[in-house]
Amino acid sequence: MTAAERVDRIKNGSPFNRLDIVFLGAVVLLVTVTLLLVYGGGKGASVEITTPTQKLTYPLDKDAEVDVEGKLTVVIKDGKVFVKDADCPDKVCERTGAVNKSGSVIACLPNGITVTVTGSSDFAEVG
Amino acid sequence: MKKIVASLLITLFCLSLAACEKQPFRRAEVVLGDAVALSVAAKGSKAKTAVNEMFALANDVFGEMNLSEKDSLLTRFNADDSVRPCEITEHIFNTLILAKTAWEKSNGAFDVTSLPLSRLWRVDTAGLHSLRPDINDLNGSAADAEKLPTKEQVKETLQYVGMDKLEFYEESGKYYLKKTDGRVQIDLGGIAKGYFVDLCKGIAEKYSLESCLIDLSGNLYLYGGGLKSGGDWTVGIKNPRPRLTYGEALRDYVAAVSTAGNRSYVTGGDYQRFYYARYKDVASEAQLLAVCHIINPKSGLPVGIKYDEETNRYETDYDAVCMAVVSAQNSALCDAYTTAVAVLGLQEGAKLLKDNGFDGLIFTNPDLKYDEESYPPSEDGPTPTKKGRGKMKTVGSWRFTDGYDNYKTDYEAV
Repeated sequence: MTAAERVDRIKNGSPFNRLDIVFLGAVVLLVTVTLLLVYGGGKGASVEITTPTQKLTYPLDKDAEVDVEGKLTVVIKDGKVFVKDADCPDKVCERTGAVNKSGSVIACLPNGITVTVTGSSDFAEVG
Repeated sequence: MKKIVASLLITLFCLSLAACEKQPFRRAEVVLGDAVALSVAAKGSKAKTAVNEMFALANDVFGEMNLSEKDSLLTRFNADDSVRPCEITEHIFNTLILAKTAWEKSNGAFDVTSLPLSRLWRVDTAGLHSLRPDINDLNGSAADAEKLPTKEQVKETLQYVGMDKLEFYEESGKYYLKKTDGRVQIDLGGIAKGYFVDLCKGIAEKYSLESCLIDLSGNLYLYGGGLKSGGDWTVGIKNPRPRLTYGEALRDYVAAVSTAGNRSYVTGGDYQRFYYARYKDVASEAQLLAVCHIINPKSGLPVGIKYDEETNRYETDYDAVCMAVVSAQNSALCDAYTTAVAVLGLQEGAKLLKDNGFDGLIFTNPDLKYDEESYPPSEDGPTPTKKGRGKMKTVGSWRFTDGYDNYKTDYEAV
């Protein structure tokens, strides 16, 4: 590209050729998708169920009923998660009721299963 | 070509910005068979290493203390009725030293030798498993109050409760524990969780984490700034009433407080580990006796019930503490003091915390406030009707967060 051609192109309004625009478009798209992926997960976005043998992950915003190895029935409903049925002796997990905040944990100690709402937050709870 | 390079650089820059905001590393598992649930979330370049080290440490610390484990050191110590010295781990030794401090400061209200009383009242883990309340049939699932321990049985058991009946010492790099009465049994469950959480804080420091939330079955340590903002944390304190939450009901918060990091928050009370008992001629569910896991090592009675000399029956003590929240930098003592405060009661408990520079929120039983007809609530049943309020005493400074103000309506500030 000669100096004259470059001046000409700027005068005509576009310093970019077609390939440049396609490429920039791709960059913008990539960045947007990355940011969405990262920031979109900021709230308690998913439910992680950990058993002695496996780890299961479910979105918190989609209603579901999960049979965990025949020991617990975990229900995700209206952005909350709770243990509906447990075959454990103390039923503390059932008595915990529902949780919806990132970091909240429901534990079934006798079965060694935890249900955690994941995500990033400044909130913690006791009691 | 330059433009392509520039675009790539911009992409990389944006990606790195995005990476700075990445999710914390999180691990939550039940550790040690069925002993405790540990949940840790951490941010920092060494977050994963630090968190995994905490999980490995849990086995070291609790393994030999675990009373659910048939062969653990403490299970064997409790079963052995001889008074010869028993070699113990350094973690058990350290925990005993902290337990002794809490025992002395609280005038014996926190006592690790209360286990025989817990077994007598069936509020040890095995007892609570067999007596759990059934939400669909509270009366039917309640234990027979006539079969609760008699005054004589309590008195007899009290003879071998007391931390003065324990000796522990270090000798040429080894640690020993002995009982002066063969019937003594100990449970470190009321303080070991806090001790462990303090060790986790040390690991967080070692790996220079930016932020870390350590939650061991409700013993919290907030390390550094909040996981999301890097600033203050918010701690939601769950309402101790109603005792039973089932199904999709969210247990509400009695209060939420905002707090700077590098502090521990621990709660204890009568609302999670308990069973109901009732006398046969008492029909109302509102009059069920709640027998909880915290036992007063002086009177030998569970917190929340008292003995009526005239009727020769146990009855609910509505002045009793139903929940104590304790906060300080040292989690082990916070843990022990929640129990001590529940045992000592509102006024003396507040004094213990104040004298030792611990912050606390102490709540007394609000059960009288429920209309008998509507209590306790069930999944489909009516919302309980309020009749009165419990009491809440504040020790130290607490910054309450708006929107979580049940403490204003359910408890009267004193």
